[in-house]
Amino acid sequence: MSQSLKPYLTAVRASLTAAICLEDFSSQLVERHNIPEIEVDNGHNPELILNPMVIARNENEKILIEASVNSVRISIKIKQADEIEQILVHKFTRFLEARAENFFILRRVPLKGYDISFLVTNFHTEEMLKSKLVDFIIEFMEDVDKEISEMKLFLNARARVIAEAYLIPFD
Amino acid sequence: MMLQIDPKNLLIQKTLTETIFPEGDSGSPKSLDRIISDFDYTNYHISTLPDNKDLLLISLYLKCWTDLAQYGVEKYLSTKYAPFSEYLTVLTGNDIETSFNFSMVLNLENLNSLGSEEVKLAIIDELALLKRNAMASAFEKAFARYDELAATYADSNTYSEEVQAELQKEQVLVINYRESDESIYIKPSFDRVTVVFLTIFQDETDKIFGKVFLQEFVDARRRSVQTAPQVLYSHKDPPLDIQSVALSSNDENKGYITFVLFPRHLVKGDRRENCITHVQFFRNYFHYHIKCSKAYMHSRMRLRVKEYLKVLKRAQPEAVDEDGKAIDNRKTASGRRFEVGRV
Amino acid sequence: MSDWRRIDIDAYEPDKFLSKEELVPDLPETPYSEIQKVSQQSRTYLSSGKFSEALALVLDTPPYVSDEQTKETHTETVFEVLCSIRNNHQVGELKSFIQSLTLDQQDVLVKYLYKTMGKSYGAKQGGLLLNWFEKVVEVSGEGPIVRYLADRRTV
Repeated sequence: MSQSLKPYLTAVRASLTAAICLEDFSSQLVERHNIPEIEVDNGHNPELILNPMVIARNENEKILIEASVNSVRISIKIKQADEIEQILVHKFTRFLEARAENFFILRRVPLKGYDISFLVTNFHTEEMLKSKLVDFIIEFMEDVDKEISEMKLFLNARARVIAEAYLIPFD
Repeated sequence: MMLQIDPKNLLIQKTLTETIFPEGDSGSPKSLDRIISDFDYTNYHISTLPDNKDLLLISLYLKCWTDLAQYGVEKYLSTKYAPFSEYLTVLTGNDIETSFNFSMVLNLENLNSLGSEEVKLAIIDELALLKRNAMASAFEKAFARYDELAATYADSNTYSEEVQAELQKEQVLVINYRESDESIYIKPSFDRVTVVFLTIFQDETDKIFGKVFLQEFVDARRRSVQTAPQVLYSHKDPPLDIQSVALSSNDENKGYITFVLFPRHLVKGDRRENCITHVQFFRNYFHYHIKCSKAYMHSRMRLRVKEYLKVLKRAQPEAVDEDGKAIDNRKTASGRRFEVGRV
Repeated sequence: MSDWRRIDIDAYEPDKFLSKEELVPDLPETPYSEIQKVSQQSRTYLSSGKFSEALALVLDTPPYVSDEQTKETHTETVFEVLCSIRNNHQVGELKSFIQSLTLDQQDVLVKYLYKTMGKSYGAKQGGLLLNWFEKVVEVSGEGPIVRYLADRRTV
C-alpha cells in the first residue's frame, strides 16, 4: 500500500500549492469585518467560494480542500484500521486541538466525517512562507500514520510483557 | 519502571520499622497516631494507647469484611498471627477499635526486651501483609474445599452427569471487595479452582487498552508460559461457573476475567501461599498498568506536538521588528542589503 | 411580524448579489441521450483497443450544463476509460497519453480526477487515480488545478 503514498503526497502538495493563493478580502456583507469566507455560510456570495477538491488514497484516507478568496480549509481523514487505532487517533487529534493556539493554522473542531481540520487564512500566508506551510501539512500527514502504528506496536509489546510478568510467578 | 506491585503495605512497614528500630537515642517511646490507606478501600490505624505508650494498637478496616467473615477471616487471622502471641494480642468483640473490623495490640516493651532481630523483622513483614492475609482467608477456604473435592472424587468417573451436576452446584465464594459491583468469585472443583474477577472500566479508552492486555493474558499460556493459569475473559455476560451468583446486565463497561488455577499452582506450602498473594492483586495490577500506558501515550503525544511546532516555526521568517515586518539580515558580498518586502 | 430581527434583508435587495444559479455558465444544455451515445462509443473504442481515441472523446464532451443523472453517467464513463487504460498499460505510458491531449482536455481530465476521487467507487481505486494525477501534474504543472478551482463550468 505504500506505493500509493508518494503519488498521494505529490497530489496533495500540488493541490495545496494551487489552493493556498490567498489575499486579504474584507467582508462584503458587514462593514469593517474581515472573516475567512470559507467558514461562513455564503449563500449570498457564492462567487467567493471555489470548487472543493477531494484527494483520496482509498476509502479510509482522504483529504478535502475547500478554498475561497481569503482562506482555505483542509480536512484530513486518517487511516484507522481497528478499535485501538480509532482510540489512538481520537486521543491524538484531541490533544492537538487543545493546543490549537500554538499551531495557528489548526482548527479546534474537525469537519464532520474527518479527523482533523486546518484553516489557513491570508493572514497566515502573509506571515509564513507558503512552501513551508505546505511542507508542514505534508509532513504532518506522513508522521501521524507512523506515530499511530508505533503507539499501537508499543501497546502490544507492553501487553505481552505485562501478561508474562504476571503469569510466570504462579509456577 | 515498576512491573509488579508489592503486596506489602510500605507505609505500615515504614511506621513499624521506625517504632521498633528507632533512630538515635531510644529514650522513652514516642506517641504515635497514624491512619494509613491501601488499595480497595482499606484503612489501617496504628496508634499508641493513651495510657501506655509501650502498647501499639493496630487496626484494620476492610470494605468487604462482612463477606470475609463468612469465610472465617477472624479465625484465620488469629491463627496466622499466633506465632507472635508473646508480643501480639488479638482483640475481640467490643475491644475492637470503633469503625474498624479487626484490632491487635503489639507489646513493644516485650518485643524490645525478648524479641530477636529476626522476630522483629518477621513481625513487621507479617503486619505489612495484614490486608493480604485477611483476603487470603476466603481463598484458603476455597482451596480447602478443593482439597476435599479432590479427595472425594479421586477415584470417581468425573465425567458422569451426576458428578458434573454436583460440581456445578458447588457454592461460589463471593467477595465484594470494592464498591460499584467489582467483585471476586471463587469456585473450587475437584481438579481446579476458578477465580473470576468482575471489573468495571471507567471509560472507552480503558476498555480498549484493557482488551489488548487481556488478549495477551489469554495468549500467554499458548505462546510462552505454558505453566501459567488459564485466562479467559468476556464482556457483559458472566461465565457459566458463576451464573448462579452473578447477574447479567447490559453494562458495556463490565469485564469478566477468569483465572483457572490448576493443581500445580495449588500445591500446599509456599506455592499455595504465593498463589494467593499473587492472584488477589490482579485487579489492581491490571488497572495500574492501563493507567501507566495511558500516561506513556500522553508523554509521547506531547513529544510529537513539540516536534510539529518546531516544523511549523520553520515556516515563519526569522526575525520580526516592531512593525511586524521581517528583518532581513542577509547582505551581499559588498555589504549591500536586500530590499525588505520583496520576496 | 414579530420576528423582524431575523428577516434576511439582503434577500430583498434586488440586483445586489449573485445567486448560485447565476454562476452557472451560459452554455447549451447537454441532453442525456448524447451522453449515452458517448458512453457507448467510448466502450466500443476501449474494447477495440483504441485507448487514446476513447480518452479524447470523453474529455471533449463534458456535460457542463445538465441534470444530475447525465453528469453522473458521464463521470462513470470517464472513470471506466481511466481504469481501463491504466489497467492495460504501465504507469510510465500514461505520460504519453496525457501529452497527446490538448490543454483543454488536460483541464477536463483534472476536473474529472477530482470528481471521481470524491466518489466512493473512485476512492476505492484511489491508487489508480493518483497515478493519473501525478502524471498530469508532471506534464502540465499546477495550471489545470487552479483552473479547476476557479472554473464555474463544473462537471
